[in-house]
This record gives sequence, C-alpha cells and structure tokens, in this order.
Amino acid sequence: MTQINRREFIKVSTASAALAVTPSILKAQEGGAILEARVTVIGGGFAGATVAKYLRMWSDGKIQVTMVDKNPDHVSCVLSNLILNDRLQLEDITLPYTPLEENYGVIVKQGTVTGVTSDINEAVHTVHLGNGGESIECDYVVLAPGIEFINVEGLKDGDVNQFDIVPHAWIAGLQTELLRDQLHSMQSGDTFIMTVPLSPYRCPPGPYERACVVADYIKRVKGTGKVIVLDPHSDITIEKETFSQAFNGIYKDIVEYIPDAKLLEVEIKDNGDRVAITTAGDFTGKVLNVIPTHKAGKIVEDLGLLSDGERFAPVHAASYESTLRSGFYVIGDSNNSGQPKSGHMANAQAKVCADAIIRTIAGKTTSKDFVHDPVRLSSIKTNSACYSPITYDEASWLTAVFAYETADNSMKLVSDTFGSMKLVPGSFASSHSPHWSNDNFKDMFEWANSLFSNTFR
Amino acid sequence: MKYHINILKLVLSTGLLLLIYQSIGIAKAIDVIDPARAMASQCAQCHGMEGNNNEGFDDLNGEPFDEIYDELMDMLSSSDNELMHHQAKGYTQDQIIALANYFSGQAKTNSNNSEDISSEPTKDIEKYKDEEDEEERD
Repeated sequence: MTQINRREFIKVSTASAALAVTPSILKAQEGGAILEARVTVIGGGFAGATVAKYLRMWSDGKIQVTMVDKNPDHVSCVLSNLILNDRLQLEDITLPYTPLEENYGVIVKQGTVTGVTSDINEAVHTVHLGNGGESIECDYVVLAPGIEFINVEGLKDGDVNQFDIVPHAWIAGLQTELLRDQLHSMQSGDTFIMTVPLSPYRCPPGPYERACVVADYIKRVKGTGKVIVLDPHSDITIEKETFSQAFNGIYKDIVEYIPDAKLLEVEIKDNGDRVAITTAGDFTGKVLNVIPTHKAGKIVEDLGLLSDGERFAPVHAASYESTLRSGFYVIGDSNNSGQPKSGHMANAQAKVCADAIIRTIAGKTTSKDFVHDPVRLSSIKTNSACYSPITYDEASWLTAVFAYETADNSMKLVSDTFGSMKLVPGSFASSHSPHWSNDNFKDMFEWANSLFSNTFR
Repeated sequence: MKYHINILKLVLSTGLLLLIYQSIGIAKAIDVIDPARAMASQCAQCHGMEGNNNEGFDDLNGEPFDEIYDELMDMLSSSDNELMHHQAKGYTQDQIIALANYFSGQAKTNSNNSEDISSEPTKDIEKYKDEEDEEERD
C-alpha cells in the first residue's frame, strides 16, 4: 500500500490550487435554473425529515420541498424504550417540524396521503391529501412512510382496535405510553410477554433491548416477575453475546427466552389475561406486547411500488429510486435495500437519495448522468450506529458501514466494519460486564441528540 | 509518481472547489460534482454539521487536515474493538483524504455563532445528562 506523504500532498495542493482558479467550472454549474424542481416527501420520520432538509440545503433553496405527515410532529422511536422504565417522558423524544420550516424553508403539511396521480408522461405527479385536503403538484415523489403491520389472528382490525389492548409500541407515541402504563400496573410476580417480529424488522436489537429494559424495571420496582421473549427466529438475531449474557446473567430469574416461537394467534381471557398462541406452545401473561411482522407503509403498496408477495419496495441502491416506477423514491424502513431498518440508517439513506435527486435534476439541463458518475458511485456510503440500554444506566453499542457495489448495484456491508461491544479477554470484572457500560449509556444520549439535530433541526 | 497524479485529480476535484467557495462564497450548486459532500454527510448523524457541532461527538468542520487524516488512518489499521474504529474501516485511504480535505475546508462552527442554524438541544435530555453526571459523582 502506498504511503501518502501528507506534507507533499499539502504542498501540491496549495501550489496547484493557486494556479488553477478557473471560474469556467463555476459558470457551467451556475444559474439558478438548473436545480428548479418540486419534490413532495411523504412521511416525516428520520428518512423523510432528512431528505427534506438536505434537498433544501444542498440545492441552496432552489428545490421546492413539501413534506406531508399525518402527525403535527414526530415522536422518535430512537430512545423510546426508555419511556417504559421511566427514564424519559414522551415529550423528551417529540421532535417538532418547525425548525425544518424556519431554518430550511421546507413546506410542512399535516395530512394523510390518499393517492398520487401522474400525467400521461409520468413527469408531473399530484399528491392528494384526504378529508378534502389539498393537492400538491410535483416532479418527484419521495416515500418515507415507515412501516405497517401484518396483523395476526386475534389482532385483526374490528370494532375495537386490538392494539389498544395488546400494544405494539413499535411506532412510538401513545402506544409507548400505553405499554408503559400496562407494565407499571403489573403486580409483583406477574408475567410480561413480548414477541420479536420476523426479520427484516425495524431496529434489529430493539426487541431484545426492550426485554432488558422491562426486566430491569421489574427487578428494580416489582421485585419479582417474568419477561417471556417469544422469538420466531431460532436464535437471537443480533448482538447475541450481549443479550444472551444479559438474559442468562443479571436477568436469569426474570427473562425466559423462547426461540422458534412464531405467533399464530392472540386470545384475551375473561379475567383479562392475555394468551399468545405460538408454534412453541401457549403462553399466558398479564401484559402482552405483540410486535407484528412489518411491511412497507401502505402508500408504497397503493402506488404499485411493491413486487408481488414482497413486504418491502425494491429500489436502485445508487438513488433509492423505485425499480418499478421512475420518479418515485423509497427511503428508510419501507425499502428492501438489505440494510438495517433504523432511524440512523434512514437518515443515511436520505442523504444518498437527496444527492441523487439533485444530480438527476442537474443532469436534465446538462444531459449528463451525474447520478452514475463513477467517482460518486465508489463513494456512496451509509452507516449504522446505535446504543442499546441493557440496565438502568448502562448500554451496549453496535455499528456497521455499507458501501455501494457496482457489480450488482447494491449496498454491501464493508468487511471489518460490523462490530458490537464485546468481552475483552482479561478485562472482565465479576460485578460488571464489558458488553455494556455507563459510559456507553451517556454516549447514547450524545448520539441520539446529534441524530435528532441532524435530522430535524 | 502515480499518487501525485491521483492527488492532483483530488485537488482539482475537491481542494479547488473548496478554495473557490471559500474565496468567492458562492452557490452550493457546484457541489453537484463533488462526491465528498455526500460522503462527508454520513458523519453528521453523530458528529453534527451545519452548525450543530455543539452536540454529539468530536467536531469535524474546520479541524486541521492532519488531525482528521491521522486519526482516521490510525483507526483504519487498528484492531481495537471500538465503534469509530469499525466505522473508519468503511473508507479507503483516498476517501479518508477526501473526507479530511472536505472537513478541514469547511468553516468552523461554534455554538456562539449567531448564524448558527441549530435550535436549542433537547433540553430535557440535556438536563437529564447533568443529573447523570451528578449521580456518578455521588
């Protein structure tokens, strides 16, 4: 490997830069017209807010961006498990959209998208809002609607929304508070049952993290009790060492981990007990937290962006444009790009998408393919990083970097970038696990605050 | 010699552009042809950007080239099991140069800057962090 001499580099850099200030490069790209376009973003979570912000910022305000969400602000799923054990309140993770409007000029509209119609050339699209709401005309549509659930038997939509009795708490908000209240009303010795969704699902460590947070709460506040984790997979899917050490160590009297337990049906008994009927047997408890199998947000399917039988939308990895319909982009949890579904990753994908849309618009006036510029392709990266609370004041971490691979037009995990907090030989102290620490617990808030800022402010 | 050519290419593609918008302070539209911008934006989830550097981990904007380059290169070859050491391995040496070049060419931002576009940090969590520090001192 060539060893770069940096002094040499800086010397070369200064000398050649001084020689080469040619304003012609500027002229080629100047003139406000080149980036004039309208983009509508459907969904204001981590993916939608980031793409809206970066489209405005990187186009110097030339691209008109309208972001539609059904809620007036966003409640973050990131950190939301900490509501359950009273470490945080909902207001701590509620992120208003006003900074996106005030700082970047994003037009934010509250409403539910009922459909999108396109002109005959599929060049101009109209996004329709329900309840007699307005119609938004645009040139590009970015879909960032997050997830929908595939309901299990006994949880079907009916007269009563069963999620009000058996909360998922996997889209943060009132659901999170409902699950917290149910947990808090448990008596000493009661059982809390939860199901892990089928992969791929939002926040890979999330369900196991939740089991730890709930177990911590039961241990500290209730004294005794059980947490039964029903996993449709044959083993813990991520951070296995960390979570098995927690389940079999500090939480061994509380957590019961059941692999190969696919949820088939839910039953509510007359005395209020909840029963989870699974392929590994029936489990009865006071609280049942079903996190159902996910699929792309409904609008993605409505617009024909899902292949038959698939749960998530196929996209071009260099742009996140749908492979089924041009001009439509799908970012975050709704696509099947093979990358982890998380707020951090949604933010990462949104930046690649914003860059691709800007390049597409710029390419139109210059007849150049800026999107597939080889230097750009070789530098497309996304990354994932997260912290999981394991105890009341300790957390673990997990990280990975993905890079674009030209050979098959996909994002691939870069070798040696996947890592998690691990036992370091010789560093193990009996009272403390190197799989989690208080320092990481503090870093978790640094990370979350920074991610919130980068996305919503 | 080969690397001189590469460097020249790099300088022309990134260094020069940085110099231009530092001196002329002009349209971000020219960034369209600078792939370093999108790549560098991947650091912002944790490190902040656009004036948000009062939160998160180490500041990157306006840091010296050497500092960013040296740290990332050390992490690239390190076998330590630390989060950033894994992250660094996602980039080639050329890409690390491009990142160091990009960040060192950005205006340094600080929380006292009146043009800072960031709003207040999430106060409750900030407050909570102080409590956490106090707990530790007890």
